[in-house]
Amino acid sequence: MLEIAPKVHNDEHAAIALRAAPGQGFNMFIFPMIMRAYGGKFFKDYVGGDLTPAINSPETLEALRVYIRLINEFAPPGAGNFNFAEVKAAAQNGQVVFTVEGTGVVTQIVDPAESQYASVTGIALPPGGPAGRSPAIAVHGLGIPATSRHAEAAARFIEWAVSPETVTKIALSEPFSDFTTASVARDPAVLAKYAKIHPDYLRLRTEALNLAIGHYRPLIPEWPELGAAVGELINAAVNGLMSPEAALAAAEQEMRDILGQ
Amino acid sequence: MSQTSIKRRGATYELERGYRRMILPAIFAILLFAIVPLAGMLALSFSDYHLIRGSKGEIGLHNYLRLLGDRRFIESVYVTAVLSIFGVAAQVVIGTAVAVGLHKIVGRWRLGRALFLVPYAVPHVAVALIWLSLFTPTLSPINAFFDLFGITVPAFLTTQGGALFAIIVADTWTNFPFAMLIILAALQGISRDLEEAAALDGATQVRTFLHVTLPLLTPALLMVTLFRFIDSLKHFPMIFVITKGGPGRSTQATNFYAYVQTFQSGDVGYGASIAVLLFLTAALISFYVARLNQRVSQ
Repeated sequence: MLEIAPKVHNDEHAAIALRAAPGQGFNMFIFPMIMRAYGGKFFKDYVGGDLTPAINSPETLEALRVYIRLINEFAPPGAGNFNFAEVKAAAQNGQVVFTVEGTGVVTQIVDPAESQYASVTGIALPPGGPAGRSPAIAVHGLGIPATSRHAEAAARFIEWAVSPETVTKIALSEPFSDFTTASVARDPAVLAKYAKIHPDYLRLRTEALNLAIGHYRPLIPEWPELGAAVGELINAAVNGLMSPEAALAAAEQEMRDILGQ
Repeated sequence: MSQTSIKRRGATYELERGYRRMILPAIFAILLFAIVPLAGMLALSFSDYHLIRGSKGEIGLHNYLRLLGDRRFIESVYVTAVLSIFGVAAQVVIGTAVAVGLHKIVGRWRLGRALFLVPYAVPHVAVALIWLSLFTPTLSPINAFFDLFGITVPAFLTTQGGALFAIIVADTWTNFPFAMLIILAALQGISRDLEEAAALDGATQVRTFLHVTLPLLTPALLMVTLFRFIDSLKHFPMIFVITKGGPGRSTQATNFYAYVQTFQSGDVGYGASIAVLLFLTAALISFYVARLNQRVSQ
């Protein structure tokens, strides 16, 4: 992105718009994509169960500098407060050349019924970095509380709710396609519906689904608080209220405080 | 005591009893929807209840003691103070100016008063969305207009000062009609004879306003300032929609910070202690200004 942005950025059009507003579902939906592409991570070993905060690393710092540069040098004025609505509008109005967004928003950018520039807009997987490509995935978990009195019935409900049949119905009846089962993308009716929006959409959506990691945002009860705190500090760095180094040091310290470490 | 006077007193007593009965539903509603939740909030503020971790049963002043050393809380008080002082001042000044202007208008143009009430009728979230668009350079018609002349309007929402200014503007736009209504009602209660007498004595319109009208408006001005100030302590929708507390955390007012602690962090006990402090501040200001108002009226 940093190679192409200077070539397409001019007074008429900005190169890029990215979510930057503080929030675990706002800038913390986009930034982890860049962070993971540069090899950064939230914890020392999330999968192995070591939840020692590790966000203050050279890799995350490099990612944060890239994110800051993209927003401050190649995005429209005021982009430091952009959320998905402003990003979507900028893309639909042709004010920016490219963006990285969630699938639900992308469908609206490439849908001719929604965007006047849809016919000249292409889609691709989010760019990778030295540590590979890490697309964001907008999915939610369904859990059963330990205190549930009807755990078996709850499990049966979850099985039904995430079954390919139910998810296919959702993909067909709702405007979004955030299904978590790749086989849904092979359903002829689903194929026909999304081919109308963009011919490459379903193929890329399935590739992204296979590349994405389930714990893109850590699946722990403290995440809303952690995500909000880190998101606020990242936003402070983007808008020049803190240096990137200070923001990451503060983020790691706050993560420790929240987790009681 | 004559028979007639006893009858009259009896009738008054019956009337008063009727009035008392009529306010019973209101008292019941206040108990149910204000006093009970308030008592619950007060109780929670002494607890360690957390949405995720539950409670270890610790009861005491720990939340209040924690507030004293919480830098984010102290910063939120500063943000609230800035938003309230500048916001309320702008609303009262603009509301008074518009009220004075509308008071002078006679004839069918008086119907135009209704126009000024429109911002007050718009839901706060819708107001916030309107101003978010106006302060977003890529969406704003204001930016587009100045762009035609090669003038770049600064991006307000990416600096603390600019973001606070944006919230104050949105809040003033939607709330100045309240000040206007109260002041207009007060102006209508002032006898025109006083202004005419001042004019006969050779006072200019400005001097008449400053030395005759304004002193008579003082109780209304105090009341409107009190109401708006108390309401301004509850800053939330404008911040939530326009800045989300940013850039960074620089527009997180105290009420917003109570939300952050309660719903983002799940720290219900701590969030309740912030809400209790806000309530006490509002109650204290109400009490003080009510006394001041009484003194001024006398």
